[in-house]
Amino acid sequence: MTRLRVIADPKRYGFAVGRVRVLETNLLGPITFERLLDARDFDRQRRILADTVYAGYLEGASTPDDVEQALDASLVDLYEDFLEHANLPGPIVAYFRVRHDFENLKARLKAEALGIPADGLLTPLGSVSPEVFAGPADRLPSGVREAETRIRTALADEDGNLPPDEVEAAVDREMFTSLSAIAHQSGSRFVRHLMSLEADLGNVRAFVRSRIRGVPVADVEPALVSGGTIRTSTFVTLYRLPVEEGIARIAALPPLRRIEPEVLADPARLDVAIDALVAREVRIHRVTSIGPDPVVGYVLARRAEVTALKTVIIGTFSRVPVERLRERVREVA
Amino acid sequence: MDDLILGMTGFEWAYFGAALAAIGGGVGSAIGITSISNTATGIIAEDSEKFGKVLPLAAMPGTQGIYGFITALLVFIFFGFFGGQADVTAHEGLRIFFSCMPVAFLCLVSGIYQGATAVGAAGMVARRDEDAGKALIFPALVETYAVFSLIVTILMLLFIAG
Repeated sequence: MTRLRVIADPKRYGFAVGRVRVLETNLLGPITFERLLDARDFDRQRRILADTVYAGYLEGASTPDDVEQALDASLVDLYEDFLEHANLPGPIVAYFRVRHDFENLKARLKAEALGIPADGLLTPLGSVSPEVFAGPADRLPSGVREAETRIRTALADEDGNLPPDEVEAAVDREMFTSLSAIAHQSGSRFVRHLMSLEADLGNVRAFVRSRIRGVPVADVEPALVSGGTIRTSTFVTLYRLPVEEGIARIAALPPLRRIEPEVLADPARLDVAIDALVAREVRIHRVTSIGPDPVVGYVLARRAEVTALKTVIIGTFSRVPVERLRERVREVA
Repeated sequence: MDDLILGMTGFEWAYFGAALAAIGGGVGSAIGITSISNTATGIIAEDSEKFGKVLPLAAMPGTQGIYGFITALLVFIFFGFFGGQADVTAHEGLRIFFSCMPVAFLCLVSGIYQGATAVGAAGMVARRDEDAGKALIFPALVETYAVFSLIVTILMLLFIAG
């Protein structure tokens, strides 16, 4: 099978990998991010980005909302013009887009629970148009519709009302179950690895934040998702230990070995460390010479780049101190 | 010369060997060139100025097909196939067949792997124009073994012909 891949992979992914090799030279480097941080003004930042792929998208933007929409539009184009035509197996494309369908489901259910319109909360990055999520349930993609039914059955009271606090964890559980199935269908070891890493890191986030706030184990257990290499039962067992010991034991587990226990114990540094860990994994797989990995790696790198750009530009609008922004994007960009 | 080995005359064994050499080299080259060409077209689609830099990489796996062709041609020349007076015993024919095998197998395999190596090298060229020269070296290393196979095949054929 490995020998046949020497023939099959270049035939299937060669064109997309060739494109990626050129496109990844246009990814923004640390120097550009330093210049963006030093600019401290959106007009100057826009001038710095004038020669990049984002120039056209940011042209008419003047508010943080505009920037968010413009950068999301650049991702929509990346998905539709590049990802959908990269000859990747369907499940790999779905791996990127289905998560946004679940984000939209979360927005739909939360909006319903709070009695507000969902329109402004929906993202265009999913596999179907955001308008679908503002409409009746029978128009939703089948996997999402079934997930919604399960969530309603589990959470709704006798009047059909949903508790807003529990929607997020319930949708996340459904999303990870769905992404886990998609990752296994993808046939890509990288996507499977990424999926289990995401599940582990999501659980670590929930574990650390809840443990520091002293949330009872019974309330944390439903927020833990399956699909990772660390069993949810391990998290539950470690949750009963004293805070420092529990976090130290988590930090010693294989997926987290590159994060220091004191960083893991600090919620302010935890997100940065986790993003950096994912960015490192992506960088490792991007150097594979042929196959789906360089293509998947490029799309993930662009997604991380858009997130970092949003952090810097919207942070600048909000007058967030440069050092905090720098720390946030240092390892990711 | 009507002696037979496994039901085939010497002439037929020699023909079979020549055909396998041409087929192995040709298939190796075709697959190798397809591999690198897919990546090369992706690179050129994004940056057409790279055409000149990736073309040598795309052409490189083509040599295995040439070695197969040369081998078949040498069999025809050395043993008088063009003159229509091939005078080859079954044992000689079998020796000719075995002489063609280094090219038939090594050029098939090295053509495929040279294409795969060239894909990685093309990635280097896509990133940095200045690395175009260095990028040629790694697929060229794979070429060495295709050249060795051709030398061995020619020596074996010369030994039989002499």
